[in-house]
This record gives sequence, C-alpha cells and structure tokens, in this order.
Amino acid sequence: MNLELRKIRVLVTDDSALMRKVITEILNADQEIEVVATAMDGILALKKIDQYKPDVVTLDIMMPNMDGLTALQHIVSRFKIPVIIVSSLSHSGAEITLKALELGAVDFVTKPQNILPEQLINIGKELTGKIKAVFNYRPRLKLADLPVTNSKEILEKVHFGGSNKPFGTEVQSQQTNLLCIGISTGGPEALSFLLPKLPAKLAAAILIVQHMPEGFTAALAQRLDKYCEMPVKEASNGDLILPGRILIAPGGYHMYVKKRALAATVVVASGAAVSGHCPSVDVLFASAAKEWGSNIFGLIMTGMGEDGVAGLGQIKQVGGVTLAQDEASCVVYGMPRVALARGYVNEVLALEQIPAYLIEKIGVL
Amino acid sequence: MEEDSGFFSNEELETLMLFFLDQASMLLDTANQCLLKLEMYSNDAEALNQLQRTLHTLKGDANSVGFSEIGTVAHKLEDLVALWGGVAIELTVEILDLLLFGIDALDDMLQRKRQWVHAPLEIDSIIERIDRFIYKHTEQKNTESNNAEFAFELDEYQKLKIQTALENSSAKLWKVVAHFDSDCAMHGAGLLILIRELNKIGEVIDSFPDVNSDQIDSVSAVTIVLLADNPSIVEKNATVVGVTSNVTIETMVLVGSGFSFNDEVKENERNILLTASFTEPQVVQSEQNLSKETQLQPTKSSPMVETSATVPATKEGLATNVEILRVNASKIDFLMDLVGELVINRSMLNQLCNQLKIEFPKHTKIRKLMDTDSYLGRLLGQLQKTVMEVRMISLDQTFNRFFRVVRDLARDGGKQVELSIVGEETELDKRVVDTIYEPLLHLVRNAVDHGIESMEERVKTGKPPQGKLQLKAYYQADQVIIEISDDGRGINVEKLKQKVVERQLRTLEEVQMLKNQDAYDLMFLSGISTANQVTEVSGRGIGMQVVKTVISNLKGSIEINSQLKQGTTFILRLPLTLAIIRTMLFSIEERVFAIPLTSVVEIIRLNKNDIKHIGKHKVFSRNDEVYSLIDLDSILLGKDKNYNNSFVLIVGLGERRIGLIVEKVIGEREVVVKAVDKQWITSELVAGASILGDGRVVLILDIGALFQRTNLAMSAKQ
Repeated sequence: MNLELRKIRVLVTDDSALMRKVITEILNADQEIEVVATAMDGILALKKIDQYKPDVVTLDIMMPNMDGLTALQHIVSRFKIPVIIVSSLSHSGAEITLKALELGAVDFVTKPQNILPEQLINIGKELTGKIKAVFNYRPRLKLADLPVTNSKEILEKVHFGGSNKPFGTEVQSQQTNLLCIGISTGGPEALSFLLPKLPAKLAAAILIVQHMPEGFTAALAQRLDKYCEMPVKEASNGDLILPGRILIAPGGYHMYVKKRALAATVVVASGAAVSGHCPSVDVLFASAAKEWGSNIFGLIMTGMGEDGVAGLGQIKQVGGVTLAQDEASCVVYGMPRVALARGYVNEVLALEQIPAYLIEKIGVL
Repeated sequence: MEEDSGFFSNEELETLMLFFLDQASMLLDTANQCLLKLEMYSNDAEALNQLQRTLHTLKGDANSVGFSEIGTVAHKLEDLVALWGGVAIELTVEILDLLLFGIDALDDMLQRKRQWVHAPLEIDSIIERIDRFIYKHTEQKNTESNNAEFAFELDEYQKLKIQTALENSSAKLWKVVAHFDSDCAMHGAGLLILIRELNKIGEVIDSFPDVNSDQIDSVSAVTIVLLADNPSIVEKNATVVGVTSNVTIETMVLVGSGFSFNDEVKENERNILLTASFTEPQVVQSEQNLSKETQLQPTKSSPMVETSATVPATKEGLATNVEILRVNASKIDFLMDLVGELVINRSMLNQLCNQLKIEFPKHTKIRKLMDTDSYLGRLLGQLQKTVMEVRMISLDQTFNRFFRVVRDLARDGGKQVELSIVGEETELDKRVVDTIYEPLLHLVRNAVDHGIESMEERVKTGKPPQGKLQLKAYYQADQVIIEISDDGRGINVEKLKQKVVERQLRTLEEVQMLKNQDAYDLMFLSGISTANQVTEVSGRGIGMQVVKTVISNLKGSIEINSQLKQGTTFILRLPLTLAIIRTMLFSIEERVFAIPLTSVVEIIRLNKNDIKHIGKHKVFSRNDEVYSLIDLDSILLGKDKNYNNSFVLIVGLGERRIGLIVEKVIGEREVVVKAVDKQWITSELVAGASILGDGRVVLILDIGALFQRTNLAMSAKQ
C-alpha cells in the first residue's frame, strides 16, 4: 500500500500583500507543506480557518480590523490550531511577540529582512521546520487554567500532604542549589506557567536558556519579572548566582557558570552556535556540571532538536538530578524525548507537576 | 549548492519587486490620507494607528525585497510617529510636516526604483533631519537622569568586590585618570602595564575603555576604578615612564544598595552608580528611551494652520474585507480582445442564421439553430459583462490622492481650500482610471491656482475665505461622469475671447458670435494656456489642449460650465469601458458609421424643406429650436447631396445639441472598438473603428470633435 503523505495545510495571515506572496512561495516550495489560503486580517483569518481547516496558521501581529493578538486568542480557544507568529523584529515587537506566546502561540519567526538567497533560505528553513514540528500539536486548555495555581498552595500541599519532611530549615545552604533549565519551542508559555508558581525564597538559583533571538530575551525577562515572586533578569556578564534569583541567558550570547573568589557568577559571552543554538542549553548544562557538582537540577523542557541532551547527561554524571517535561505537556516533544531515549533522565514530569516537585525537592530558605 | 540557494529566480524576483512598487505606492497614498486626517484632528487615534501600520508594512515589504534604504526611511518615520501624543500640540504640526516630507522622499525613491535606478539612494539627509528632531525632543528626558554624574557600568561581581573590600579593609575607592604619553604607540599594551603596576598596590576593578576595546588607541586618557589604601602611592604607580603621565586621582563612593535579593524582593536597578564630583562627556545613554517612552495617547485636538485642505471625516479608512486576486493586466486585455473577437464572430453567425432562415424557412433545424444562436448571444453578453467588470476599478485611490495635492497647492498659494469627494466608489475601466489622473491633476491645479481666489479677494466679494473644490463621480447610462467644480471666480468669457483674438487663433468675428458654452471650448485651442487667458498668474503642467486630447483618446468628452464669480465646473464624460460600446449605426452612401448611443437624443425624419440656410451653413428648426446641422457627406466624403428620405440624429453633449444628417438609420449595435491607424484615417472626427457581422468596417465618430467642428464651421461661415 502506498500511502500518499498528506501535506501540512497552512493558512498565511499578513496585511502586506507582498508578505503573503513571499511567505506563500517559501512554504509551497516545501514538498510537505501546502498553503491552502491567505488572509489579510484577523477577521478574514478566522473565516478562512473555518472554511479551509488548516493544520497550522501563520499570523502577523500588526493588522487592520482585527489585530494578531485578538485573532490569536480566538484561534486558540475556538479552533485549537497551532499558531506561529511571523512578525518583524523590533523593540516593541519583542514585547508583543512574547505576549502572543503567552496567549498560546506556539512559536514565532521574524520576517524576511532581505531577499538575499541564503538569508531567505534560512528563514524558509526556520519557518518550514517550525511548521513541521508543531502541526500535530493541539493547544490544550490555557495553561493559566491548569489546576495548580500559586506557590502558597503548593507549599501547603508539600508540607501537609504525604511527606512529613519539614522544608526550609533542613536545606544545607552551604552550597546553593542550582536549577538549570533548557527550553525552546513553547518555552515562553511554559515558563510563564512554571516560574510564577515558585516561591520567592526557593532555595536555589535558577539559570535558564530559552532559544530566542537577541532583544526577545530581555523582554521575556521583564515580563516574567512582573509575574514572578522571584526576581527575573536577563543575565549580564558578572551577574551573581544567588538563591531565589532567576537569570535568563541573553539571545545571541552563551551563558556559563563560574565560581569566583567571592561568589559564583555567570559569564556571558558571544560565541559560535553550539548544538545549533546561541545561547545553547548544552553550554549552560556542561559548565554547570563542571563548576557546580552535585547540587544541580537539570530540567529539559519543550522544544525541537536535541540541544541540552548531552549537557543533561553531564549533569547526571556529576550526580545532579535530571528532569524532563512529559510528552503530553510539551508543545514539541523533541529535546526531552532524545534525553529520555539516551537514558539521561531521572524523572519525567508533566508541566503542572513541576512546580510542586521542585519546591519539595529543593525546599525554601 | 547553486540551485539550492535561491527560492526565487531573477525573473521571479523582478516580478516581486514590481509587485512591491505597486503595493508601496498604495501604502504611501494611505499614509498621506492618514496624515491629512491627523492634520485636521490630531487626536484621530484610528488614523494614527493606520499610519503606523502602514509604515510598518512598508518597512517590512521594502526590506524583504532588498530595498533597505526605503525600509530605513520608513522605519525612521515610524519612530517619528511614535513621538506623536508624547509631545506638545504645537509640535505635532512640525512632526506632520516632517512626515509629509518623508513620505514625499519615499515617493521619489520609489520613482527611482521604478526606473530601475540601481545606484544606492541617498537617505542620509532625511535620516539626519528626523534623528535631529527626535533627539531634540527627547533629550530633556535624557539629561534629567544623569546630569552631572558620570556613570560607570560595573558588573555585579565587581560591585560585590568593592563592597566587600570597603567593608572589610581600610581600602578606599579611587578614580584614576591617566593620560597616555604621545610616544606610547600601543595604548592596549600600555594599559596592561599600568594595570599591573596598580595591582601591586591595590586592586584594579575595571578600566574605561577596556583593554580589548576598539577605542583604546583613539583615546588620550584612560580611567581606572581602583581599590587602594594610599593615594600618594597610587599617583606614583600610575605614572609609568613612556606610557602614562599627568595622572589625577579622586575618591569615589558607591551609590546604591547591595545585592541581597532575598531581603529586598525586587532589586531591579541595573546599574549602581559610582559617583564622584566630576563631569565627563561620556556614554550617551538610553537611545532606546526614544521610541519606548512615547505613547500613542490621543491629545487634544488643535486648531489648524492657516493653509490647509480639509479632509471630510466621513468614511472610515480603506477597511475592506474584499479578497483580491491579482492578475497581470495584459492577460485581461487579451481576454477582452478574445471576447471582442467572439462578439464579432457571433454577429456574423447571427447574420448567417437570419439569411438561412429566409432561404430555408421550412427546415426543421432552423428553429433550433436560431435558439442556439440567441442563447449563445446571451452567454456572450454575460461573459462580456463579467470580463468588463474584472477590468473595473474604483476611483477612490485616484481621488484620494487629491487631498494631498490640494493641501499642498493651497498652502503654496496661501489659500484655504476645502476638497470634498463624492462618489469615489464609482468604477471605471482600469486603463481609464490610470490615464485620468494627469488630466484631473491639471484641472485641479487650475482650479486651485486660478479658479479659487485669494482669501482677501474672496472676503471682498462676500464669499467665505475658504474656497470649495469638489470632485464628484457618478454613472449616467453607459458613461461615468466626473465633475471638478470650484466656487472661484469663474471664467471671464470676454477676456478669453480677447486673448484668442490677440493670439490670432481666431478672428474677432469668429469669436464674437460664440455663445458661452461654445466659447469655453476656446480654452482647448492649442497655444493657449488657461492661466494666461483667465488670470494673470502663470500656469504650469500640461495644457488644456492636452487634457482634451487625453480625454478624447479615452473616447470621452469634456465640457465646461462656468458662472462669473460663482465658479467653474469641468465635466468629463467617460465610457465605462474602452473595449465595447453600445452605438447607433447609420449609413451614408453604403458607408456605415457609429456614434455612442448615449449621445443620441432623438431621431427625426428629415424633409428637404426643414433645412434652412444661414449663410452657407445649414440649420434645422423644430419646435422653435434651431439645431446646427452637420452634413457628414460633405465633411467626410466631400460631396453634396439631396436630402430626401434622410434622417437627422439629434446628438447631445451636455446641454448642447446638434443635428447629424444621415441617409439610413441601421439601428442599435454593440461594437468592439478597434484603434484606427492615423495614417489611414486623418479626420479627427473618427474615434475608432469596428467590424460588423457581415464583415463591413464601421467608423465610430467622436462626439466632442463633432461639436467643436460645428462651432468652427458656424463662426467661419458667418
């Protein structure tokens, strides 16, 4: 039996006729993808989704009549189709793009900046790759609506339920715990679910590598900082690694862990992409394993590819705890899948289980 | 690798660029409209939004086809728009001017791209102008934050080190400025030596610039932050022979709190300042503040500047939910040609059918044949109508461009002009719409420059200071009428006649007897610029004669109505479509002619006695009305005739009527218009030709030309 592979049906939404044309041509050049319709604003996009039932929607943000964010909310709640934001990179654009990711867009791509062949092919690859990675994903209920809501409840649960282990006092603050998170596609949404549920006095410093271009990570840190009890900052070189603090690697730079005479700090430095990314999860994980030793938690979460897998192996090797997000709660079950397959994972957790797990295992100061 | 590297071939890329140019001019039109709305109502949030979106789209589009200069300018304009609402009302006028200036610059750039000018476009001056403006109006915010203090940006670990040292030892914090000696060739190496020397007596926290900085060789001095006990040794060690001299040292204090994130839940201060009592021109801070600090809140509406064209705030934007398929116009032209051929062939078929019916009235298949033929005719009619509609586009783009034009003209002329637009949704053949802009532009210019009086003059004559100009379009039978009317001073006919005579274009006698409407036609004579005739101001652009020619080429006509001191109206009549028109066919001596059906008022049987002669000129009177008669026979065929059993077609152009003597009226027919080769047919009376079902060629007459001919004939024969 020769099963003809059904093409991934895509709806392209952009208010620029030129962009619709360019994006459509890029996508149609891929054997597995077919643009079934285009729309010039949110209202039309909704109408066409109803009509053409696409597998994936690409969405511009600045549009007349109904803008991208509004359309996005309708698409996620009504049609449960993965949406990829295609927007142009700018300061205010980063902020809005992040908001879109929190509202349920699975990923984003920055618009073609120049039709120089190699640039275009890169953007084309990025977009087609992302479409292929997410087309099967169905946005579930909004993450914000998931059962677990705040750290107080979690603390109570941890304290009174099951375990009779008192927390806080028992934690040896001699050596700070370090929680390293590696995350990619679906990250902003997952992080904005996870991090606000961690208490201010969590007995660990958190370092995060989220695959994202320059400019977006600063906006991500600022947004998360508003919602989280722990302070969140885009890391700069020399920032101190302190318990109760979250540092996010800046886009375009690698983040390393370094112990120095007076304190542990991060080193932020530019460099070539490692495992296809800069910042790279592998770089963070490997340097943490080397500098920190056993008090590490390595958490690998939703995302394409296998950046962080090798690093997670190193964390496991030095005696750290290795965690992976489960398939059901991942937007793209890539990095955790490979890590699991390689046997590097101690524990597989659903997104909604992670906060309670971390609080229980790490404790509070 | 080669074939893998491009999504688009050169050819495709070129198509994409053409597509961009097309889109971009539409975007600029929209931007212009938004700006004019904002000029009226500075708090029009929707217009502001639309403007921003439009510039954003333009930027993205331009960048993606590699026109980065256009993208850059659009981006700057976006930044400028972002200032709106954040500044005082008076400034919005300045921003507006700058934006308009920018839009014009973009328009020029597009123009050059359209001519495939490959040289890079010069954008520095405009970018600089905008930057300067933005800088000027955001700098206050900047200077407030760091007035007399010089901020070092130390990282957290460095600050921790300082804090620890200050708390746990007697060390103090120093700012050391050391000047490089002129013979120190390598500042980087020199700085390393200097740091080594200072580390002997304390701890160097950081240096500005950094050892690895690109600027290190271009600075004359280096600033070092140092932890040390004894200032006298510091000075000594900072002076390295052959490297540094002229050392100054000052103490510094650490400003800002520590790093205990758990005590103070949110510590978001990025840089803790190290202050000292000195100033230094350094590190221009916070460029990103510029765009971020501005909001888009609408501000209070402001009274507008003196010279302005006003935009009626009636219709909302260009918001349409219509989906558009873009097709190469030449394909549709071809389709139209095919339909034209089909129409001709079908009429041949029809004729054959009719003949067969006469020859074989009893044949059983005749009935069926006739039915099929007439069904074919109906289908063809629908096909033709649909193809025609495909070619139709509305006038709104063209009309809306005039808001900007009128605004600028009014401003230049120191006048106030309110432009109103009616019926911009009226649709016309795309080619007509494309062609009509230039003639309209000329007429609008005339109206604003010469028609509408200066404010003083208007007030003197009891008119409101603000002049009115209207562009109006509507359907009338198979035609679209476009009227351009102003409430200005009107055309002074006597003056016009005088000029014509002065220029020896017509004799005094010729012009004297022309009635008003006919006299206005004198404006179309070559060698006359309206400006010189009617006002003393000099004119520019294409002359009225060219306007007339363009309209005639479109199978249209132009007419002028004017009332002295009340205003002037130009009326353009244009066919809905160029390709197929409904005509009245008639023949003279077996030759078939056609005139557009819309211009036929009446058909009257002619008796020889009805013809009167005024001089050598023929007229025809009926119900107390006298019509000039045109005898095509004598004009076209050069013969005289007897008029028994002839007809008169009363032909109308606006209010005017003339009679056309024809031998035989054939009837109403749709004909496919073909251009005639001017080499073969020289008469200006012929607008085109067509082929009939039986293969005969028919000449289509130009109504406007007929009327002009009559006037001249009348006056000449007088």
